[in-house]
Amino acid sequence: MTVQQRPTDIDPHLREEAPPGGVVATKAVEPPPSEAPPEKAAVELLTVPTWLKVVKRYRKRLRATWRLYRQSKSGLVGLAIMFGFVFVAVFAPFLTPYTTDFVAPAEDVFLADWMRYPLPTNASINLTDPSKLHWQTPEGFNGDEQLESIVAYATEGYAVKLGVDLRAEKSAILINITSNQSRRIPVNTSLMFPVKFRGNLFFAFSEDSLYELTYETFTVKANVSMGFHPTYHSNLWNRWSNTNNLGALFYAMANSSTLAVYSKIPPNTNIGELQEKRFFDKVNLFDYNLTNASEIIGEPIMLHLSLAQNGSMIVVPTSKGIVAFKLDINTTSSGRVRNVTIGEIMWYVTYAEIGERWDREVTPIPNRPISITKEDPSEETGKERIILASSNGWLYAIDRVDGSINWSTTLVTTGLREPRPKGIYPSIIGDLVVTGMSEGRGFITTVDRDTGTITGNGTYYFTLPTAVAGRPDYIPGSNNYFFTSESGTIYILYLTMKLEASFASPGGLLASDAAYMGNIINNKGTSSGNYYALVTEDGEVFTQSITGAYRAPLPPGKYPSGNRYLLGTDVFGGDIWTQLIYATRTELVVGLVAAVLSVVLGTLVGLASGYYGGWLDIVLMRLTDIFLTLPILVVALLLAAVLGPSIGNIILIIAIFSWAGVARVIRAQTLSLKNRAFIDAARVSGASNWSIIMRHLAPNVLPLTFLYMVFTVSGAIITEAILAFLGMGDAQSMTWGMMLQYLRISGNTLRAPWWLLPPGIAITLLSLAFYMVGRAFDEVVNPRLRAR
Amino acid sequence: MVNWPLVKYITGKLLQTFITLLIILTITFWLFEALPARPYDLLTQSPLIRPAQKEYMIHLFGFDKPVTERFFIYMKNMLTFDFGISVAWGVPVSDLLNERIPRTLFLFGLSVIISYLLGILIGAYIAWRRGGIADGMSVVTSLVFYNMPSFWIGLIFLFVFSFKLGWFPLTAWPQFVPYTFFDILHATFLPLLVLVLLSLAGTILLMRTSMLETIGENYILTAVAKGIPERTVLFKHAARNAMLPVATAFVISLAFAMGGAVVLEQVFTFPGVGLLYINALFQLDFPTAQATLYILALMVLIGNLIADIVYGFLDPRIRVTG
Repeated sequence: MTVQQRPTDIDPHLREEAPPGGVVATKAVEPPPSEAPPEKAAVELLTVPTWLKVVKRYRKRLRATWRLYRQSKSGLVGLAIMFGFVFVAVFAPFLTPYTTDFVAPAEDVFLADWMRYPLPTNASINLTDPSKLHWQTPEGFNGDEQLESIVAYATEGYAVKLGVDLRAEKSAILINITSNQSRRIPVNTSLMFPVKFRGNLFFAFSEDSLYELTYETFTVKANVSMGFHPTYHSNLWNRWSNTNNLGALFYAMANSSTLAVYSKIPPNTNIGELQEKRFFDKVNLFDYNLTNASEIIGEPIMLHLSLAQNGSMIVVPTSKGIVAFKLDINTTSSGRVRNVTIGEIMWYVTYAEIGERWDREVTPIPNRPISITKEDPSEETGKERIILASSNGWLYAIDRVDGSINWSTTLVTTGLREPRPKGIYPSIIGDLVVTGMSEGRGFITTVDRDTGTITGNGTYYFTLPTAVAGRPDYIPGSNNYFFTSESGTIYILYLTMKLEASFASPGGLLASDAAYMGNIINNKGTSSGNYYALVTEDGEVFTQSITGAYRAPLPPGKYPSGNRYLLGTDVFGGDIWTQLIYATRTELVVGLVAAVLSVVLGTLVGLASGYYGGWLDIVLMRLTDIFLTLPILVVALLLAAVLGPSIGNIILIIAIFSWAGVARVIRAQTLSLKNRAFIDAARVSGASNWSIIMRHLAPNVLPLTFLYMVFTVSGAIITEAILAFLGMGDAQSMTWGMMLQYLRISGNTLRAPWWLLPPGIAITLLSLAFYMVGRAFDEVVNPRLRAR
Repeated sequence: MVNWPLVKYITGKLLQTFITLLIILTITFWLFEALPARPYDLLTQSPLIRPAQKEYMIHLFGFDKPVTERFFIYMKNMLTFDFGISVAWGVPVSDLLNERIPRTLFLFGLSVIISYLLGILIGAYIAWRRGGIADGMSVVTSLVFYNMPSFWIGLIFLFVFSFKLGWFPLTAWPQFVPYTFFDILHATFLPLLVLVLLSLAGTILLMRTSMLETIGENYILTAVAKGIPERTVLFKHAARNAMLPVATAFVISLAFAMGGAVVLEQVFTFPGVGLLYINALFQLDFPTAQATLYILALMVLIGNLIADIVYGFLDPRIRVTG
């Protein structure tokens, strides 16, 4: 009983484990001959065949082959599936609704998850009366700090503070109102400002007095008679130092005609002082001989240098221009502050001047026309600047030292055609955030503070249906900007001003700004989020995680954005159907190239080894033996680690482990053909070795080669999937194996069957198709396999 | 009377195997050399490590010696099975291997045996009934399973049977000591099932093809014409002869089974040699990775050697001519 070789036994070598009937073929002894009976070939060879004749011969053979092939049902099915995949690969863009870099939008992927808490009802105060209460969140609040309380004050002289605590409990985050303090304060407050200073203070203004109230209990700590009623207040300059009793706290206020500065210094405990000292100075704008009457129209800005240096100033926007008042800080030789007064005007820039210089009309805007760059001076120029946003959409940077214009830039860009800036704020990351209205829509943009141009090459801006309400916040941890619009929608934008998520106000209009509450992590550490809180006019406190609960991978279906995901999404939000279709291309390329490579190599080795014999044969056969007995996967992993994961390397690795089987079989075939009559005839008629191999042996070996190629494709697809699954795949390209690997790595294996099944089915089908074609072709080549 | 041709054949194969082993060892040594990392890299990542400590590490692993000297040390160690201590786990590599090799052998050995026994029977039967429904269906099913990526079908089984239905544990080895043989069977049922299914597919296809060829032989026709009962012809004449390539394939499969362990052990978290290899490779644990590779290659080579020897005994041509 002879052991016959058959191609079905060879290809399992490429599959992972226990290749059934794997290497039987390599023990081959007698290969079945392929085609034309020798006599016919000998007759044909008396004339040296030209290529034309070869082609004709092939055409006849192809037709005969097809006739035989057609008889096998599985062969036809395999061929059909194969062409189906080729069609899919070619027409991929038409078959997929999205492109390869599509990511599901935030509204599909995030689930807004509100927590709400009704405001406590208090007998003495109606907390839900919006006409009475003004809700505040502490200013000077930067992204990482946790909001502890939400404060409201009423003009009738009482204040309310709700301590807010977001706690993580088990797997949920709970909102807790920890305290509810309300207190009558002995002032009729027209304005109350929380100020971040040493456990926080409130500054409250009544008719003509400034009150300092403690944050915890609203107790009056100090009361300074001002003699005027301020409507604007500046930033706080805090140089207070407890350790050495030096320093001071500075705070400026203004109304339309008066500018005042308030300062307090720590007690000198060295000489036994117990009380803080307070100073107050005010000036009237009309006392200065400014061209035409001016009124103050916006918030003063305190620009400060160290106490020792001169040059601290208060910059004030007026109706005709910007005025910089010198701040005279009188200190003792040891550095203690003695007195603080407002000094002379350092410089004064009129809007008309700016307008004249640039030949366009500049009109001042009523609210907050000015903002300031970061407290640290610009690294590039070493200058601090006042930035003026004008109503014609221009930004001007005015040098603090002499009032000269550093730069002016227009905000006008393709998407912002008539920008009317309303507010400028310094951003923690160094540029400026500008909000305003343009053509009836609100906008927000980031602007480089050294040039005034919109960052991101003019692309970092975002428009929304209504105006931006209040001041945008920045959350450093997730690089998000975060603000509310006047209609009550909350927006979360990425650094690049791209929308990450937006949520409608949860209930009623907003009564307060949304304030960032910090990063909350639950006890298990399994989830965390950046939370923010807001109060609505309906009397509820809402907190929400910045982005809501993350829901990807999404099961197939239709989603709020209107998108339909046929096979759902993966953990990043990419559409599975799209990935599946486009991966077909890579798979086909990998399979075919690897197969061609390995088969060409194997055939050459087999032909050479079989024909020449002798030493070449022995050496080559030992080589093939080694490659046949290597544990493939194990060494392939090592090789992939050495070469690095890339598609080319994967193809190479597959080819390296596949050529040996082909070589064996081709060699056996060559051996059997070598001794036939027609070869002798060729040699006698003077053909060189090379031409014998190429013209006579190769064409006869070709069907076998083709057969192996088909099987190798089948195996290559599976091998590539395995290598990708184990982590050695090319991260740049998408193949079905990589899809499964991402699935495994993201830990969703047991949770996302829509992600698990399609790639595997695709791999199976494609591999199966080639295998069936191979089997059917095997029946053509090997007549004994055909049905009797 | 000594069968000289056979002895010559066997000795030749032994020599071949040994040379192949040496060449494989050399290739793997150079591959490890070519890796862009060294075993001490992960250990010396921390900036707190002082240069002296790093140098000690280098010396410990012998990387201060020249390459050729290291090569000969490596060869000597491998051939004497002196594997050293694992970098990642801190225990002698031989301990790790001794613990894991039996497990992998058990899993894959058992699966191969079962699948071949079943495969021979089923393949023989359906080939005899060529064209019947059983034939068509078995062929189609076998084809499909043969072309399925094993890890994928493993994941699906995990999902359905372990996760959804909870019949089997997610990790394919008993968690609690002491465990009985039954516990092992229960835990390893899923990987066994997957392996048997996939192996069965190929075996059925192979056996069927082999049977079809055998049935085409004249002596079968004669036997049937002689009136020998169908059953007897099927099993005693056809199957026994058709079994030959399958039997050889069986031995080879055992040999290659270990090599393919890597993927499935990863999927089922089966604590065997394959998983050891992957973990060692990713943690740059050279001693363990090299040793594991060596053992796997050795097993495959020995398996092939045994197959060749068995073949030598069975194939009369070799017995006679060598």
